[in-house]
Amino acid sequence: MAKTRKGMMIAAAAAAMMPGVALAEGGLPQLNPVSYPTQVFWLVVTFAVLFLLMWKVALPRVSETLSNRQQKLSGDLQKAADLKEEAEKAQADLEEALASARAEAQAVLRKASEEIAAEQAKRLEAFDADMAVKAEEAEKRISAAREAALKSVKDVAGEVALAAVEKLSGDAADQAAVTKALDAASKANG
Amino acid sequence: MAGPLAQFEIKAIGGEAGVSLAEQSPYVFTNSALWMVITVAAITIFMVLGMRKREMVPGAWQSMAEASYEFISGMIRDNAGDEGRRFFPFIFSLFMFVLFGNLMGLLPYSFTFTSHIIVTAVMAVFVFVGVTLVGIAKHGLHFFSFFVPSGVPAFMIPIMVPIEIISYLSRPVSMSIRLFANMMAGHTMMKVFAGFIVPLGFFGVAPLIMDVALTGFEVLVAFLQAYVFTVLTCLYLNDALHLH
Repeated sequence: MAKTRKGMMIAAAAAAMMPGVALAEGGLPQLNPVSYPTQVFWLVVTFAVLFLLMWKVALPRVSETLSNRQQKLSGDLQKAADLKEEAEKAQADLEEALASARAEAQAVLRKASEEIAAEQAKRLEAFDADMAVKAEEAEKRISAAREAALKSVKDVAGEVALAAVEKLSGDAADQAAVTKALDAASKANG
Repeated sequence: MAGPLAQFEIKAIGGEAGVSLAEQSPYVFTNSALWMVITVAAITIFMVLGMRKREMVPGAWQSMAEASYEFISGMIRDNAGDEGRRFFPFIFSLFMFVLFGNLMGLLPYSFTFTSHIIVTAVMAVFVFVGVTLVGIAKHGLHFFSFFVPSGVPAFMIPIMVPIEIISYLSRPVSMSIRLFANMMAGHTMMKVFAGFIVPLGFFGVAPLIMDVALTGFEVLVAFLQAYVFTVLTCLYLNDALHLH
C-alpha cells in the first residue's frame, strides 16, 4: 500500500511537471524478476533457432554465391589476361612480319638499283666505244676529203697555171715544169 | 494515458486469462517472445529470400544480404583474426538479432526486447562464458596469464592481478548495461516527448518535430549499439584466442 502511495505521489509530481504524462506504477518493468524466466526461455529458444537457420541455411548460400562470383571474376580476369597475351603476341608477329617485309623490299630495291646502274654503265661504255669508232671514221673521212681537196686544188692550180702561162706567153707551157713549181709552192705553204 | 515506461511491460499472450504475469507458467509466451520470434523470422526472410536467386550481379535486396555478411566477416577478420572465422555464424546471428531487435522496436506498438536487462545480460554472459571457455580450451592453464600484464614489476603484480580480474569480470556487466540502457533511454525519451504532443495543442508541433528527429537518431543508435555489442564480442574473442 505504501509502495502504491509512493508511486502515486511520484506520478502526481511527474504529472505536475509534465502534463499528460504519468509514470508507470511499480517501478521499471525491466527490474521485475517475475518476467525473467519467460524472457530467458524465449531468448534461448529463438536465438538457438536463429543460429541454426543462419549457420545451416542462410550463410552457406551467401558464401556459396560470393565464392562463385569470386571464381567467375578471377576466371574472367585470367581469360582477359590470356587474350591480352595472345593479342600482344599477334602484334609482335605482325611487327616482325612488317619488319621482314620492309627489309625484303629494301633488298629488292637495292638489287634493282644496282642492276640499273650496271646496265647504265654498260650502255654508256658501249655508246662511248661506238662514238669513238664513229669519230675515228669521221676523222678518216675528213682527212681523205682534205687530201682529195688538196689534190684537186693542185690540179686546178696546175690547170690555172697552164692556162695562165698559155694566155701570157702564147704557147703551151711545159706540163712537167708547172707540176714541179706547184709542188714546190705547196711545200712552201705547208 | 500510458506512462513512458508502460512500453517496457511484459504481457502474457495466450496464457491463463485474467492472471498476472507472476502466476503464469515461466515459459508463457509474451509480447517480448512474440517480437523475438518476429525478429528471427524477419532476419531469416531477409537472408534466405534475399539470396534465393543467387545472382552473379546482385539486386538491391541480395546486395544488402551480402553486405551484412561481408560486414560481419570483415569485422571478425579485423578484430579477431582468421581464427575468429570459426565463430562467424554465432557472431553473425548475434549482430543480426540485436540489430533487428533494436530496429523493429522502433515500429509503433512493437516491443523492444533489447531494452530488457535480462535479455542483454543473458547474451553478454553467454558471450563472456563462451569466450572464456574458448580461451581455456586453446591455451589451457596458460590462459590465466591473461590476468598478469606483461612488463609489470613483480611488486605490482598483487595489485594488478585483482584489477585485471575485476576488469575482466565487469565485461558482461558493461556490455549488457550499455545496450539495455541505450535502448531504454531512447524509447523512454521518445515516449516522454510523444506524451506532450496532444496536451500542448498547437504547440505540440515542437515535441512532434523532436520525436521525428529522435526517431532518426534512434535508428542510428540501433545500428551503433548492435555494432558495439558485436565488436566487443570480437575483441573479447581476440583476447581469448591470442591472449595479450
